[in-house]
This record gives sequence, structure tokens and C-alpha cells, in this order.
Amino acid sequence: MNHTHRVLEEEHLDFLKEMMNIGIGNAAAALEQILQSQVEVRIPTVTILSALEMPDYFADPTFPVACAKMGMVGDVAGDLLFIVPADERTALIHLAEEAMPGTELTKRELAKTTEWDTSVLSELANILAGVYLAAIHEFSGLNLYHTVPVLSLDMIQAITDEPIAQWVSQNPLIILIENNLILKQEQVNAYFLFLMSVLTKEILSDAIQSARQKMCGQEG
Amino acid sequence: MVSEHCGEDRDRHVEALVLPVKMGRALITAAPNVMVCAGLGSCVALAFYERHKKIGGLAHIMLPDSSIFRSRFSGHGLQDLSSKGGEAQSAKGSTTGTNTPVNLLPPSPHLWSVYQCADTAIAALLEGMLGNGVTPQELVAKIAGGARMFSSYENSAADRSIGEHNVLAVKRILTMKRIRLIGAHTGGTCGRNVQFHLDSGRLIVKRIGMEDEEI
Repeated sequence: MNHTHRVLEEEHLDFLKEMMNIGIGNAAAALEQILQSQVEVRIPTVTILSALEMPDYFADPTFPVACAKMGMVGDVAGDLLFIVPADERTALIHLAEEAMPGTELTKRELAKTTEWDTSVLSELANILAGVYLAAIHEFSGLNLYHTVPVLSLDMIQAITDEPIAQWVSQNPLIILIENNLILKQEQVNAYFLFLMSVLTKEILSDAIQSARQKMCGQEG
Repeated sequence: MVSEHCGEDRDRHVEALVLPVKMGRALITAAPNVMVCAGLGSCVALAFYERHKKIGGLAHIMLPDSSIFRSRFSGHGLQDLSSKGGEAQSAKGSTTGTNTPVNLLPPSPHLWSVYQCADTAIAALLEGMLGNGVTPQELVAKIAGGARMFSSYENSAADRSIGEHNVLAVKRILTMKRIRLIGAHTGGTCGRNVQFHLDSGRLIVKRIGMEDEEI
């Protein structure tokens, strides 16, 4: 792993990745309920970065995305971003709208309104973030809560630079999870980006340690 | 240095390089090169230009003030500020076919980079420009960026966003250093791509779904 996070040991990083993998399992189950159809999940790619490594991470910083940003409060402070490539958000929205009854909007109206897009995406982000954070809590005992999502559609770099700027002085731990889902034969990539303040890195390490002890205890 | 070679490079009609300037970084180079800041949200692209020598500097600034780092990492980085302008480094892999020198100001080896914050970035970029034989009187500045990417109830219009703070800080420091700001494309809620053409000093601002604008 990179030098920037030498504070965390390799086993801690492995544990963080495991925690995120458990999160996606739960998120998929929640998606199945919302979309009322089977959701196939590939093992997510979990990347841990420092804020200074972020500018080099995006191969195309101008890549258009839809992003729901939520504040993260509790044992770890930070931001939580739910990011969907702009061309794939329509697939996700179409699937969600099929499953969400009660809308009077026709397809033609839907095509020109973005308000519906934003509310569906915000709702998806809300549910998935909640499920993800609950999974982290179960696994590590960390209490994490998120604020109401705010949405933006723009270039990936433009969308992520404000949260990074906000937290960069704390040398945050950035966990990027690339989820590859198959919904009704449509492949959808959805990303979670956790920005965790370094001030609480010790708390995080302690939580991971206690989770390990708990697991070892259960095995014994 | 850039100033010693740019004249003869222009005579040879060298191929222009397109050089990205990433977040928290800065670059100084000469015509005919083009510098690019891609995906500016709340960040501000600050361009310095000298039209006779056709030398320009571009910084991709993230934050208004380095004091937040200074209090947290006191003694790290700030003392190195004076050396930031001089160290030259070729843009990796892309220099083939051109003789225009690229004076890449390297990212700080510390936990933060001087180019992340308006105060330290302007000081370092100015020093780099002066080091290339530019006089302060002939230096002009243009800025772009500083958007508010997320609007919410808790972050209401009455509160200044990071982008607005960045723009205000850059403008204030430029005034303080008596550098003429001749163009600005700031604020709003859209991300920007900026192209800085050193043959003309034009700064082209591109936004998704909108006409390109020139400042």
C-alpha cells in the first residue's frame, strides 16, 4: 500500500476492504427490494488513497457523472459520495421508476425533467448509504450516520474537488469502492467514495482491532 | 530557463504541447504550448502571462489560505517555498517533437503542496515567473473556477462556499501584490475546463452543454 497511509497497517487496510465488501452485499439486497428484481453483484474493487493521490487517480477528470453527496457524522467525520456515470444513471433511474409506482409522468416528460432523476438518485443514494453504514457498524461497532444527500451532475473532478478541499488539511483517508452490478441484464457501475478524516483514524483502527477480536472470539 | 529558449523555439515552428495542470499543482512554460486545468469545480485556475516573452504560469488552486495547514503541520513545507520556482523538470513522455522548455513546478514532498492554497501558490508562481525574466509590471493575471457544485439547505446561499472563498482570496492577494487581473470567469454551479494558450494568452473556458467562452 502507498506510503501516505503508513499509519494504518496492512492488516487494517485488508480489514477496511473486507468491511466495504460486506457493505456491498447488503446494498445489493436493498437494491433488489427497491427495484423488485434480482441484482447480481461482482466483487467490488476497493482502493485506498490519500488526498494528494486523488488528482492522479481519474484517467479522465472530465468524465460526466451524477453524484449524491452526503455528510458523514458519528465516530468518523467526513463525506460520503455516491457516484454513477452520467450515461448509466438513466438505466438505474429507468429501473427504479419501473419499480416505484404512483408517478404520473410519461416517458416523454421524464426525458426532459431532471427533477425526477435527482429525486430517484437521491433516494437510491440515501438507502444505499444507510445500508452501507449499517454494515460497517455491524462489522466494526463504529457508529456512522449520513446527512440528507445533495445532488450534482458534472465532471467527476469538478464534483470531487470541493469535498477533497474541505477535508484535505486533515489528511483524510479516501476509500473508493467500484461496484459492478447487473440489473435486469444491464451492467451498472456505481461508486462509493468515503472521505474519512484522519483525526479519527485512531478510532477507526481501534474499531477494526476490536472487530478482529470479536471475530476471533466467535471462532474460538 | 524558459526565457533563454522561447524565441528560438518559436522560429522553428515547434509543435505545441498540451500540458495538464492537476489539482494542487502548477506549471510554467512558453508558447506555443497549451496548459489545461480539467474539471475545475470549487478550485480556481490562476493564469499569469507575459505577452512579449509569451511565457505563462498556471496554478490549480484548491483552498484560499495555507494557515489551516500551517497550524496543523507547522514547520513542514513553508520554509521550502523559496526553492519552488526554480526546479525544472520535463513533462514526462510528451516532450518529443518540441524544444520548448517546460518548467514543471514539482508537487511538494510534504503532506501538502504550496500550490494547493491561494497565498502560497501565488507567491511561488510569481517567484517562478520572475525567475524566468518576467518583470512584475508586464505580468497580467486571469482566473477561472470557484463554482459551488452542491447546493443544499444546510449550505445556503448566504454562506460562502469554498469556491467563493477561493476567488475572493485570489483577487485580494493579486491586488495586494499589484498584479493586474484582466479576466475572470468565476462562480456559478457548473464545472469548468480551462485551456491556456501561450501563443496568444487566451484562456478558453469550457462547460458541459454550454458555449465555450474566452477571457
